[in-house]
Amino acid sequence: MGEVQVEFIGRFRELFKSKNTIIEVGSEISLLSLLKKLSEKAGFDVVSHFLGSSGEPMEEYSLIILNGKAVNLRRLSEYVVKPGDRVVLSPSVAGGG
Amino acid sequence: MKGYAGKYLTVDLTRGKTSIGRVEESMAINYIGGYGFGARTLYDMLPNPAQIDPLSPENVLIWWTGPLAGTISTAGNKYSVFAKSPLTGIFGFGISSGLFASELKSAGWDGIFFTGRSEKPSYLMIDDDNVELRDASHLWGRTTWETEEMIKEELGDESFTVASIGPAGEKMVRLANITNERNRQVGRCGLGAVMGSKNLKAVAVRGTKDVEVFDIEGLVRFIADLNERCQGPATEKYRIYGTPANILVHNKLGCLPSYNFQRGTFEYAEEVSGEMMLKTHVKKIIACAGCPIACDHVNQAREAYEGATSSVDYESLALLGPNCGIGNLDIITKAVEICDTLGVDTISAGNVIGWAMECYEKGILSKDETDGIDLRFGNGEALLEALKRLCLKEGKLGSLLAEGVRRASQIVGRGSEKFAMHCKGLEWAAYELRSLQTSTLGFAVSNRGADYLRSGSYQVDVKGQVDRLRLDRSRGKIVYDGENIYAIIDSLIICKFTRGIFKSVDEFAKLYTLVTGLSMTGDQIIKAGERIHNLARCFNVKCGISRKDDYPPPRAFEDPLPDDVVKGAVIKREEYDEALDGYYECRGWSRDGIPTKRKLLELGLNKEAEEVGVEA
Repeated sequence: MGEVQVEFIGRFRELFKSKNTIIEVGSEISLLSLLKKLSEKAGFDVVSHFLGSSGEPMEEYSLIILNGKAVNLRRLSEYVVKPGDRVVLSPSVAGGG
Repeated sequence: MKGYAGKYLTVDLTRGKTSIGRVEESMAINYIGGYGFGARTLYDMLPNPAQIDPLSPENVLIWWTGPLAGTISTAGNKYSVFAKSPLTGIFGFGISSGLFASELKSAGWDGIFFTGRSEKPSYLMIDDDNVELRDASHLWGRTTWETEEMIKEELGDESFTVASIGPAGEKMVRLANITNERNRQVGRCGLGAVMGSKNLKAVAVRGTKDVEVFDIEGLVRFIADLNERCQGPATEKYRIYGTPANILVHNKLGCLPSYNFQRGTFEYAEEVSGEMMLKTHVKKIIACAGCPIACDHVNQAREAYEGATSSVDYESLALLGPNCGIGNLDIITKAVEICDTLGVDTISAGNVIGWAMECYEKGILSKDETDGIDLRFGNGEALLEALKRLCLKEGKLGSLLAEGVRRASQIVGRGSEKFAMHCKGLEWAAYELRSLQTSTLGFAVSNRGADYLRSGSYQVDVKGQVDRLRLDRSRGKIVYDGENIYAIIDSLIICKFTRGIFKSVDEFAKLYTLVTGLSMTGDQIIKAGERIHNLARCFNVKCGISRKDDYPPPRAFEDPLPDDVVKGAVIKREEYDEALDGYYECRGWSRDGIPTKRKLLELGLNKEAEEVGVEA
């Protein structure tokens, strides 16, 4: 077992009432599974902030950064998270008015 | 045709005469409005733009609304201004929001052209069909906020909407903007300086007429649906934190420019974040006419800067904050207030001062050359003093900064050109170049210069859809597609914050037809976007623009980023060349970036094919 550090930005800070949290994982876990673990810990559905009811990516709404890299929400289940990794949950980038 | 007023006003400032022109249906269908109308009319009114001094009476200043202004359309109350830019020497263009566009349309005008130069300071009053050039001698030297209040008082009606320049525009500072309703600006390209060169202080407008639309029942249904979507997740980020929400996420991605783009992260990002701002500085959140989103976060400063009030968006915040090493929201709020009241673009101002700070720290600018100001990164008082001097062209420093970063670096020399962060003379906005490389291609090929508003190409970078630390040929298509869609958005003119609520380009076409009654399909409107973009490029080609101008500044290729998350990121020149080739290929332009005759003829730009086009 090891720790994955999860940081929160924007509305995720309000939802989690914190700037960060730690999730214990085994050797590795998919990013989607990590979000489900976060849901259990928080008591609300975290996945629904990233995938719509039909599984469509909600790219205009939310963003995940894994070890400094922006995650493609269309391939959410393909990403692997390991102990020591850093994950950021954020609203998507807002710009271009 | 509905939606349009069907006419525009021409004001010959030299002779003090006005005349009326008609907007033809062919113009509407081919160029939509806003950006498209501006590209068409600027090209036609300045047939030899290379010969025109932008600050001479020979330049023109063109204002256009779009077909949606004054209607119930969602976030469609915007106007655009065009001229040959005194900052870039090419196609100059800016868009502003607020109430001005709907007032102008309700007064019965789609646009206004200013030619010549007024003998003395003047302002234009439009009250429906009553049009009058009035003396503005008593307003000269006044801030934009004072000008707005004084004109409303003079005209005896608060419902007049005023767009004006501040002292910076009067002094022809090349970064000068045009401000309406205190916090809304035609910000970029120095169009306020063109207004100042014409001795035109302001335009005040009041409109009382209805703007007719073609299918009111269909439009009401469609807009109700769009407004409902506006309350959904795609726009939540704008409603809660506004664009300052970008600070922390950009910091995590290593694409928050700091210390004049020397770095992509900022150690005081939390202190200047949207989250912090909402908690400690935001006093009210306001919306433009007809907008259900309400993104505008108005700050009030505290402590030593108590009383300072300004609308702080991401670009202003990042350029006047981290890019100058400033981690204090009170100072940033005050800095934006100085820019808004004296009348300069916050993006360009924060960029050129960041450059001057780097020059100072590297010993390129001496304390004598900064008029005794200790212009270190992070020195808030120095930032504010430099800003005031820039706006008023005061002293050696103010006169230098007022030229913009390209000219200033050419004047100073001594290697400072290498870290002058601009493209085609327009200062780079707050998207780091090396850690958002598709975005960088989009900025660099833009018709306006280093422009974050013409293609939205940063989106694939931040959504993880491409490797943002590399470039390849396929990025050209991404920029090409984005530019064509944004050309439509800027011609209709719709706020880009609503772009996520439209399901496809077919919905842009549907909205256009519901308002105007003119038949339009998704394919046709996309073709119009391509036509508009090519027309603006043709203007630029006449100004001497070619491939050599479609590159980011040297720092993008030569200085790897030091920040942990993107350590070593730099643009490889051969990859950039390949991406640029891919872009030109999609555009149907030559390898030198010149539109081909074939492409221009395909778009119906026959005159331009003759004048500008090259053989394939």
